[in-house]
Amino acid sequence: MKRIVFYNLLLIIGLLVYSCQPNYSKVGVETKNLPVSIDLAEEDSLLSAFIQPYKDSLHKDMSRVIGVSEIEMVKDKPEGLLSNFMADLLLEEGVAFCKKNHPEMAPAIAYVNYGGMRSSLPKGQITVRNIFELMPFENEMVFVKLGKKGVEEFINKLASHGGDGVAGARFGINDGKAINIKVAGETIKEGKHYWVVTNDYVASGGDSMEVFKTGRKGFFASRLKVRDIIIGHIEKVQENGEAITSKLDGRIYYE
Amino acid sequence: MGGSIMNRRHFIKNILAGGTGLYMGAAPFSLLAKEGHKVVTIIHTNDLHCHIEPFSSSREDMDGKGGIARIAAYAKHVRAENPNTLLLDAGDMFQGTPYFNYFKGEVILKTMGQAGYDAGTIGNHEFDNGLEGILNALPHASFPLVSSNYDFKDTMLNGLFPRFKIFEKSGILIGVYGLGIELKGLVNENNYGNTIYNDPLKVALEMETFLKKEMNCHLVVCLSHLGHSYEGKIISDLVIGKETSHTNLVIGGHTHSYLKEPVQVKNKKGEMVLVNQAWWGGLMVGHIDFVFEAGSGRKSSIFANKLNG
Repeated sequence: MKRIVFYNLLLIIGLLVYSCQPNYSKVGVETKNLPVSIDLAEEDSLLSAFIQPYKDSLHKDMSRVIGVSEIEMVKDKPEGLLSNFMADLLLEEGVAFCKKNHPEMAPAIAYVNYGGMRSSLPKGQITVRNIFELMPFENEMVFVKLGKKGVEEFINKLASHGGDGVAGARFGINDGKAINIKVAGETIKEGKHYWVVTNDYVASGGDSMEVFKTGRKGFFASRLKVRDIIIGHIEKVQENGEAITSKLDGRIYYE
Repeated sequence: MGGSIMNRRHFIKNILAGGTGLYMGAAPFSLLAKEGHKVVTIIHTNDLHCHIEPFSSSREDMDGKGGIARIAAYAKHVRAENPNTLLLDAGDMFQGTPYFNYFKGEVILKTMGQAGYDAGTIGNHEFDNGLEGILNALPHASFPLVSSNYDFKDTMLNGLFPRFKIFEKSGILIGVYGLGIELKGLVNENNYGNTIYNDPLKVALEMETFLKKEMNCHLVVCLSHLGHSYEGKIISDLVIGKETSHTNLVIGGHTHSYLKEPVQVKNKKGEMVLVNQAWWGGLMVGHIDFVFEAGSGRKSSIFANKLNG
């Protein structure tokens, strides 16, 4: 008797456990993609309070004025005020860096990829924020050594882009190809090597610049961030009581 | 009472129609619960790119929009209505505003944790400060970053990323796996070192079978940073949706795709899979309600047919 009661009890418990763990089947779905605006929700006050100290310290530094620009600079193709400014700046700073540290690597060309310039520079006061918006990435300044063939391939790539950010070189574009390539005012020579100062992103083949990876005959990484170099350069100009500026000089032209 | 029944009918009708009609208030959840239905809500973002604050932009569709604190408030509100809610992200949390340049991954991961994110995955921009950048930032994440196809065994990140995560919400098991994009050619080699990239589709098939068949998950979600779709045969969120059998939802990222509603594709078994992406920068959130019915394992005929249709 007792045994039967016990088994019945077990059975009941078993059934209870089973019915308490139902299988679920998915029977419907409803979806919506919602813009995150004031209509969706107010800002969560706890999280806003958590963000505030970071925001304050960030905005204080970002609002710092580092210099003045005579003109508004926008990137453009085949050449542009911003692209020329950035490439000229990188060439000047690259030459200065090498003169001090590695005279044998003095760059003849600077390349700033068009896609890497993420914003424009306004006329008037330039703040740290402007430079962060222009160059948000943590790229560093690097040096790549190319031979005649490498330079030709590199410049032809710029021509196929319809122009780009370059300094130290001049060329025309005809049917997507580079013609009359001049580096430091001279035609490029067989047997001669040319150092290009650029950023590590393109130097490792980014933006379809494979030539910097496959055609390189030498490489050096400065470990200096491009953004820090830009900020330092504009501060230096400001200390000299001058304003930054740029001009179009026909370095890249259509034939 | 009559009104409540009306609400419920209206809700079910929307489900049947597969429509995106809005329903208001908490009524459907409590009513559905009473009748053995349960709702799992998934809210998701992608490519936040350190957009902690709302955008200030010259573009009208962006200016004043976004902001983690707003996403947090929305998630809180939804969770209060339905505790069976998950907040997920599909990668590229890093890079894009000075918050990243100044504080590396710290502020974005901390704020996402505070906002209640349940899981995320690794996007290519997570590598922007190298493996060390990820290693240093990771302690600030209170939520797991699920990565199934990157193998970090030969790197300093060995053992830090779960291959899957299972969430239990009122008896419903939700399995989540994560797919990352090929880093070669996209990320500076020095920044990913010896990270091994495994074929996303192969890994997806392995993960979904494991989650569905071995772990008995009721819902399988893929967090994908592969990108929505590409020309040619390049692996993408859509390919994962079409070529798998047990994945119910692919939450995508990388291509910053603006979708008015999730794309529906048919999987290997001919069943409907949702493939979604919520633009970028926290300018949009995806909100998906999956309705479940308790039963003895057999699918409820009317609804199941519709879902599989």
